[in-house]
Order: sequence, then structure tokens, then C-alpha cells
Amino acid sequence: MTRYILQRLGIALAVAVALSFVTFMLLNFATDPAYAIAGEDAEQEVIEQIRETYGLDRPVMVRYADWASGMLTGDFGESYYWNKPVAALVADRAPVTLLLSVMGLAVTILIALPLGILAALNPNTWIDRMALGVAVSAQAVPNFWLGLIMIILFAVTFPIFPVSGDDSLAHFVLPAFVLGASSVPAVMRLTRTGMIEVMESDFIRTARAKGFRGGDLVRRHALRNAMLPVISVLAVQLGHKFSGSVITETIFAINGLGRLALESILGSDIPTVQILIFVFAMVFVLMNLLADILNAALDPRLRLG
Amino acid sequence: MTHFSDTDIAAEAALARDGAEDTPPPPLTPGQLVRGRAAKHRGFQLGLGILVALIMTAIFAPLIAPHDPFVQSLANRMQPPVWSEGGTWEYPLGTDANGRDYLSRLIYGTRISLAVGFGAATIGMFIGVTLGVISGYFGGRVDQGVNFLLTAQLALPGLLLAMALVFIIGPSVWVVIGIVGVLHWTYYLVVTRSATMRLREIDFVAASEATGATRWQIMSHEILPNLSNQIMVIFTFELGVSILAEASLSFLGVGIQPPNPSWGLMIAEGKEVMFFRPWLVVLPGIALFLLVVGANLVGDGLRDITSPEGRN
Amino acid sequence: MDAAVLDVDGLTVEIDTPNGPLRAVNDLSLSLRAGRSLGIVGESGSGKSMTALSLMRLLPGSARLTANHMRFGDEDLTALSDPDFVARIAGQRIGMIFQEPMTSLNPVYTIGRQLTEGPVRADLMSKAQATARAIEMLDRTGLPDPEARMRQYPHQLSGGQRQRVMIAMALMTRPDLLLADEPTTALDVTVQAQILDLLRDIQRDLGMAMILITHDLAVVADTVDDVVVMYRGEIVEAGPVDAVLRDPCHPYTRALLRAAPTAFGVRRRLGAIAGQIAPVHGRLNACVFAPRCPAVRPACRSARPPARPGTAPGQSYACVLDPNEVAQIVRAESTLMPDSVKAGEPVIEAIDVRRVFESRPGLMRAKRSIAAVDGVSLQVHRGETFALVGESGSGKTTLSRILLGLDAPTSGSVRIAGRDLTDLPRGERGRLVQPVFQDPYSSLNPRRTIGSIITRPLAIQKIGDAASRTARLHAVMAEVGLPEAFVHNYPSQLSGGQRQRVAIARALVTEPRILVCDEPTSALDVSVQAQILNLLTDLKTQLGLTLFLVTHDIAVVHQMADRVAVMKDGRIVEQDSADRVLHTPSDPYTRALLEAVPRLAEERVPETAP
Repeated sequence: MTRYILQRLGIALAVAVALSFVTFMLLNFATDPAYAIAGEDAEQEVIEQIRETYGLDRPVMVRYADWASGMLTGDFGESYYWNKPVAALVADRAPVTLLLSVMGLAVTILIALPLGILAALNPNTWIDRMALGVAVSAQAVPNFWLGLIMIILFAVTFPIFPVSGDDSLAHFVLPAFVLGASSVPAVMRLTRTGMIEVMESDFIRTARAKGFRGGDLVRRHALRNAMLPVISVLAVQLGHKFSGSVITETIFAINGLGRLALESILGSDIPTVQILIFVFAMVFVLMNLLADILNAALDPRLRLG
Repeated sequence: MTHFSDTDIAAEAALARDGAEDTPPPPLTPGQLVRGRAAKHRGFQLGLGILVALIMTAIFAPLIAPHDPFVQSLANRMQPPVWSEGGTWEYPLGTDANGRDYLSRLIYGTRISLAVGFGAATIGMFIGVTLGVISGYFGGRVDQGVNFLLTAQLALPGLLLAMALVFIIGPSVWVVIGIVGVLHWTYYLVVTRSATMRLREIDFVAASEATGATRWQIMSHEILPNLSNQIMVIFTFELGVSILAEASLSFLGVGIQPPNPSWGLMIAEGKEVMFFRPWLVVLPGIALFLLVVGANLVGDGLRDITSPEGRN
Repeated sequence: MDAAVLDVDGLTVEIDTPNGPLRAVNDLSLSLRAGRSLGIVGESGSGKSMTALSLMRLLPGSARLTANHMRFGDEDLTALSDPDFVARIAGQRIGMIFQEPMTSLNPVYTIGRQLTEGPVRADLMSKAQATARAIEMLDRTGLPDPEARMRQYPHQLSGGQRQRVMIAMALMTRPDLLLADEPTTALDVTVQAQILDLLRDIQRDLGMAMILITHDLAVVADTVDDVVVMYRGEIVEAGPVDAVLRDPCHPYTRALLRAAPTAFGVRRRLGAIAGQIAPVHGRLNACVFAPRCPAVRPACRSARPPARPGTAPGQSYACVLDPNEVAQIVRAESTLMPDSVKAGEPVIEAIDVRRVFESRPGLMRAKRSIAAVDGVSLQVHRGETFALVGESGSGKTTLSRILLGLDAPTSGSVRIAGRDLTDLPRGERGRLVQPVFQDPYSSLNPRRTIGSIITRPLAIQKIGDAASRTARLHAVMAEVGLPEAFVHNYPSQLSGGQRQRVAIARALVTEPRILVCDEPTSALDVSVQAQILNLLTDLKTQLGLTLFLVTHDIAVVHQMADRVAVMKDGRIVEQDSADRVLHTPSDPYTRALLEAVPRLAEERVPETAP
């Protein structure tokens, strides 16, 4: 168990290092940060001066090392656009996004798991067809459009929820639904196929031969096996929710990391964008690690190897 | 002296030719099976119908569109659609804030969505299938390397990265196609890799190896043909995903730029007045939904009708 | 029939398929007294498993069951509602074990939980009682240290151990009837013998009734009291096991016994049953065996023959012919003399071959190395059939892969036709040695036509042009007995036996000198196995082939081999002429292996009628 987790941790660390490098290089080579700060039309002298001020005249590897070691000490650099430490910006906005993501995941779980399980237990019935219909539609609805339609419907036509902002929990209901809906198809389909596969397996036949049927059979014998792959995907989806918050937060005017990201991009604020991409990636890596640990706890084949 | 006769062989051959009285008709070829199932699969037919109709719309847009989608007319701003009060058949779906015919813009919008969809899904396919087959076939270090790449790609926030890159490189249809494509190869990789690993262990690959086939011959002749169904299924899903990715980028202002009629961009433009002119938001959304539903139905259908049959 | 535990009358099972309803079981009647054991024997598609699943209400959702009655003790199972069946019968008065011990236990729960949950849920025992009973039953099935087993997970046990757990689980409630569906098919022969002994002993000790379902006639011979033989959903013959195996009355039973190779006694050409098993769609108003019966009469095709008494008391069979008529038509083939092995020059020489697999269980763990083949030396001579025998994990398949060039030895050398394998370009190697694999379903590329599959080696090696390849294709298809019409078919359209013929045709198309056959008939039904073994024997003589036969089946060795090597844990423990090894084995492992082989009663096959 410990060995397994250590191994996963090692991979996670390696991925983190690789990602920090990729993120830094990608945005550095794609653009000249000095121009980004000064603007396209700036004079050469101004550019040179900015390069010197921000240390951009040093070799790129040196700057990466500087950036990476800064991150380890909690120094995420300085935002050109907001004129604030990036760390402060992130710390400021993170709780809102975290809340939104967790609520979104809850929405996904509440819709996708029951629907997937019911569909699997009643294959080729109206329940199954309905679940498939929900999946196909949810997969095809543009997320940002769903957000706008929700606002038109439930904030304006039937004013149940506030239009935008992040002042109360009620403000989060519509955004969380929109964010959660995007993961429903993937999770629902995986739950369904996983459950069908388990229900057709030999050990379920054994349990049936022992006299287990119906709900008893599903709860005591099928659920844990069917949930193993779903857990990994839920973790992945929580990672996606963080980056999916870009759209939801923009539409609902929520001051979280996603909106910060869009504003930073539009403001050519490369240091903030770099950090945000890296932070989102780290959330994903952490979630993946968590999923691995959970899987090991639930699956003796991994735990005892 | 060994005793042998050909009687049992001959008898079986005769039976196989004539068939016993109660033998069912000879089983169908894989192609016939798929065609037969396609003829019964409603979802597949519906999806294919939508997709073909929209592809035709894109190809013949200049013939179908009643107006030039770029010509502005300040006199005709915000005309309502024909079913609303004040709507006319001159502009069946009304006009936008610049007085451009909305129907014509929607018709031309199919071109952008389909170009990005097919372009990006193809790029992703080449990257993902190549990596998948190679890592699945060679395994070991190669596979570990590809797996690392996969983990890293999955961890990166795709939309955010695409936004940043498109914004920095400069938005154009080609840049959007390239970046969306380069960021959407993981699904191809995961599926083709595990399928290749499974196929590599199957005896017909060993039989080919034992006859002296090279690795290249095995990958192209034995493995790839057995992946084609799965690749087609993923392609249709990625088609939908790429179309939605383009729409999202354009909606956020970091994709296709005005005055091009991207559906995502049209929704963003309509958003300003959505409480008073909701059709400006609703209509492009429905168009997107239809196109992506079409692609997904084809994908689900393909999966159903090509899934291998159990062994008797 | 006093105190019948089970009395089934007119059981019919239909399964919906795309080709219409398939009649898996048709009008089946059987009865079983307390404390007796019954074997149900049949090839694939005989409906034997469906019969067992019907009794346990485990039929797939697409299946429909009808029966005049199914009495179990004092209950009529046809009248019992599902909740009542589950509450009183399933897992309590009827227990069941299955073929696949590796997958039949839930991987995420402990053995202890899986053993105890059934009786505890049914309120038959307290948790503590159930635990005590579980430990007792594990001990009874011969698992060492049962207390420790209770806390283990299935993946920590071997296949044989898992099957013991399955048996213990089925016996937790002391059922009146135990259903065992191919319980030893997935196991090695030595483990199979132990499990069969265990089942027979437990059945007698506990005085319960048992139904043993198997495809292997030899398995029932020593394990059960009575046997029924099924074919295409119907019982064709039933009776005391000794009588049925010694004096079969039905042409099918007789033919089946002739088709099965035996591990001992005189070697004779196998009596293959022509044709293949076709599923029954709808109602069949004819004898199920008529399409393949060598003694078929016009009457057989227009009505189902009624059951009639056989030669021995309690024996019955469904055929229009008298037993002696059957015996005259379905005769044993003449004796097959072993080829006087012309000790030709050696064509395969392995010298101290080792193949070590290294695995790294985790990034930070030390490498583990396992020698799958551990210093093997052998010689195979031109024109002989050399059998390599071993159980799973013995390294026999790894060695055969090395001979085919699919794997390379870590050390040691292999010479084929006098040339070192490492110096042999792969094309040339392919023209010397060709494989025939076990599973005819996976050895053919499903996306290619039969013609393209068979000529593929010619294409790879760039031999000939289109016309010469087509000519060669037709020649080789004729050699293996495949109708030319199959050229444009796909593998999925062919039966298992036909596919194996395609695999053999592909192997022969480049006219190799050696065929390496890895379990070439293990996936086939007995009647089809006989066709393929006969074909291989004939081809060997006609073409002067050398056969390298890898198998776990002693009967196949006895049928085919001139010389034999017995392999265990990567080493060859004994190597000599087949005659010597099978009759006077010198190594203790070989002896154990031979003793474990299930025998037909006294190894007698029906003799030629007087």
C-alpha cells in the first residue's frame, strides 16, 4: 500500500516538474513577454528597459529556474496587469472556484451515478433510453449557451435565482448546475458500462447462485467493483471543473480563478496565466493521486499487489 | 503401414457445401452484418441525416443563403424572426445588431464549425493513433514515455491553454484548428493503445510474425485494420468536442474573430441583448446542438453496429 | 424412483437470438435420487450448462423456460415465485460451482466474507456460527491453514485453491443438491484429479445429490453413478455410467467414444464425426443427430425417435436402431501402428536453452527474474511427431515461441535444420517452421478473408505472382479439406474446426518442414478434435512433415506422439519414446501426471462387433 502510494507520488511529482517546464516554455516562446507588457507598438528602448527591469534579458533556462524556485518558496511572481503578487491574486480567488467546482461535482454525481446505475440494471428499457438521451444531449449542449439559457429561464423569466455574482450560496446554484452538467455524459456512460460489465461477470453469477438478487446483489456485490473506474474519472472531472470554471465564472460574473484567467489572457498578463495553468494542472495531478489512493483502499489487488 | 482415409474430410466438405437440412442460412459477412444493423439503428440514421444535411449546407452555402452574411444594414438592425411580431420573410430568422441576415450567418457558420471539427479531429487522430499504436505495440520504455506524455496532457487545462495560445499566436481559423487538434489526441491514444496491447497478444499477430512479417507490416496489416472501427467512433465524438471547443473559444473572444459568422461568436454578440432579443442567443445554440448531436448519434450508432459479436 | 431429490419433466429452454429463437434444451426429463450423482455429458451447444442454469434460475434474460414439472424435494420449482426460490432454495438447498475459479469470486472482498454472507443473510446461522462452519468447510476441502484463508482475497490464491473455496461456499448450508458446471475444465490435470476426488468424496460423505456437467467422458467415468449424454439440447442416451461407457447404444455416444483419444491402451485412428454441430432453431421434428449420423435412415429425418430401453438395466437411448445394428455401423477404426520412427537427421536442436523474464513490480522495487525455460536441451528428428507435455506455467509455450522465432532465448542456442536460429533471416525461418495455435477464434485476423489469410505468408515473403498464389491457395485448401467456396468468407462465418483447418492451411502454404502446434485442439469439441488430429496425422505422412506438438493432454500425446518430453518448472524431467514414457515413466512427476489422467472405465473402447 505504502509502496504503491509512494510510486504514484513519484509519478505525480515528475509530472508536476514536467508541466511547470512545459507551461513556462510554451508561453515564453509563443510570445515575447516584453512586448506583451509594453504593447505591440512600443519603441525599442522601452522594450529594452522592460527586459532589464523584469530580468527578461537573462537566458531562458535561468529564468525558468528562477521561476520554479520562486514557486517553491511561495513566490509566484508579479502580475504585470494587476500590479499585485500573483500568489495573492490566486489565494484571493481560489476559494470561490473551489466551492463552485465541488458543487459542480456534486451535481454530476447526483445526476450521473443514479442514472447510470439504473440504466445498467434495466438495459434496453425506457430508463436506459432516457439515460442515453440525457447523455447525448448533455454532450452536445454548448456549456456557455446552457449557462445563458439558464439565466434567461431561471433568473429572468422565472426569477428564482440571482442573475450573477458570488455573494450567497444561491448565486452558485445555476453555475454549479451548468458546470456539473458538462461531466454528466462521461460519468454516466462509464457508470453504465462498468455496471453492465460487472453484472455480467462470473462472480455476480456466483452471488446469484448463493441467493442474492435485486438490490441486495447490487449493493453487496456489484457496486464497489463498478465504482472503481468511476472514482478515477470523477477525480479527472473535478480537475476539468477547475478549468471549466473559465466559462461558468465569465457568464455568471463570479470572481474566481477562471475569470481571472480570462482577464489575464485578454490583458496579456503572462506570469498570471502561467501560474494559473500550472495551478489548474496541479489540482488535476492531486486529484489523480487522490483517486489512486482511494482505488488502492477499495481494491485489494492494488493494495496487496 | 499407416491407415488413413479421406472419408471424414470429404464428408465434412460435402456437408459444408450443401448444408444439412436444418442448418441455418450461412452466417453473414462482417460487412453485411454492419449494414444490416445500420438499417435497423434509428439513432445512427437520424445522426447521419443531420450530419449529411449540415455538410451539404456548408458546401452549398452560397446557393442556399438568402443574403450576404457580411453585408451590414443599419436600417435593418435587430429585425425579429418571421414568427415574432414585426418579422418578415425577407429575414426569416431576423437580423443581428449590425443588420446582417441571421439565417445567412447561421448557414455560413456551418462552414467554420465543420472545418474546425473535421480539421482538429483529424490532427488529433494522427497524433493519438500514431502514439497509441506505437506505445501499445512496443510497450516497455516507449509505453512509459507515452504514458507520461498522456498524464501531462490530461493534467493541462485544455481550454485555458487553448485560449492562451490562440490569443498569443493570433486568432484565425487555421490557428484554432491547429491548437484544438493538438490538444485533443488523448482519447484516441488511450483507446488505440489498449486495443493494440490486446491485439499484439492475439495469435494472428504471432502467426504473422512467425511467417517473417516486419513490425511495420504487422502494425499496418494486422493491427490497424482491427482498430478502424474504434477510430471512426472516436473521430465522430472528437468532431463534436472540437466544434464545441471552437465555439467556446470564439464565445470568450479568443477564437474566430468578427465579422466571421462563428456560432460561438454570434452567441457572444447576442449575449449583450439576450433579455430583449433572445433568438440571437437561442438560434446559434440550437445549430451547435444539432450538429454535435448529429455527430454523437453517428458515433454511438457506429459503436453499436460495429461492436464485435460474441463467439456464437 | 423413491425419494427423488430432483424430478424434471419436459424441460425446454429457448433463447432469443438475431436468427430467431434457439432451442437450447428440448423436452428434457431426468430424475435424481438422494445421495446419487449424475453426470451430464455433451459437446458445446448440447444444452448441458443451460440445464444446470435452469435449475438455479440463472438463465440469461433472453431465455424462456417451460416444463411440465420440475420437482425438487417437496417443492415444485415451476410453481415457485422468484422471491420464494431465492428465500428457500438458491444457495441453501441447491449449491452451485462454476467453471472459472479465477473469476468466480468477487475480487474486492475477503474469502471469509464471501463464504459467510449467504447463510447469514438467509438467517440460517449467526455470524460466529457461519465463520466456524466456513473454517470447517475450508478444512474439509483440503485448504491448509483455513483461518488465515478467511482473511485473504481471491487474487492471493491459485486456481485450484479458488475452486476449493467455491466448493466450500456451495457446501456452507449442506445443500441437498450440488450442481457442478465444468468444475475442472480450467484446471491442470493434476489439480483436476484432486478436485474430482474431493467432489466425489464430499458427495458421498454428506449423502447429497450431485450433478456434474462436463464435456469430458473420462471425467464422469470415475466420479458419478449415472450419466446422461446430451446432443443439441436433447438427451440421446442415459443410464449407469459403466453401462453407457462400455456398451453405448446410441450412435452418437458410440461415435463420441470413438472420437476421443485415450491416454492408454492400443492406439487407433480416431473415428471423427463428419460435419459440425448446428444450433436448433425452432421445433425440430427429426433426430438431433441425423445430419451427422453414419447410420441415418429416412425415418430419422421425419420424426423424433422415442426413448427405448438399452442393453443394460436402467439404460435408455433415443434411436430407431437396435444396439447391435448401431454397433455394426459405428465400428472402431483399425489399429494405428506407430510409425517405425525413421530416425532422420535432427531438424530441431535445442542446447541448454534458458529464457529468463525480468519484471519490475514497481519503479522502486528490485527486479525479479523468473526462468520460464531453464536449461532445456532436446532434439527433434525429421519426420517424427515430438510432443512437449506440461501443465500451465511449465514453460512449454515459451519454448515453442522460441522455436517459432517469436521470442529469443536468454542463453543457449537453437538450431533449425542445422542452422542457428539467430543466423536465420526471418523469411527463411518462416519457410522452415510454421505455427498452428490453440484458439482458432483468435489465430485468424477477423478483418481478412480466408483467401487473404492463407496466402498472406506468400505475400510477406514475396513468393510468386497473383496467379501462382491462387493456384497454391486452392491446392492447400484441398489438402486440409476446406471447400473452395470459403475463399471469400470471413473467419466469423466459419466453425471452430473449419477455422483450425484455415490456420493449418496458412501454415502449410509456404511448404514448411516443421509445424509447431501449440495445443492445436484444446479449444475444440471432441468430435472436431478427432478431425483435426486425423488431418495432422495424414498431412504429416503425405508431406513428410515434422510435428512439434505442445500439449497438456496425455491422450493427445498418446494418440499422436512418437517421442515425448515432459516439462515442469522450465525443465525437462523426462524425454524418450512415447511408448516408454507413457508405459514405464521413470520420473515421479511424470508418474503423478499419468496417474491424474481421468480414464474411461478400464480404458475400453467399443470393439468391432462380432
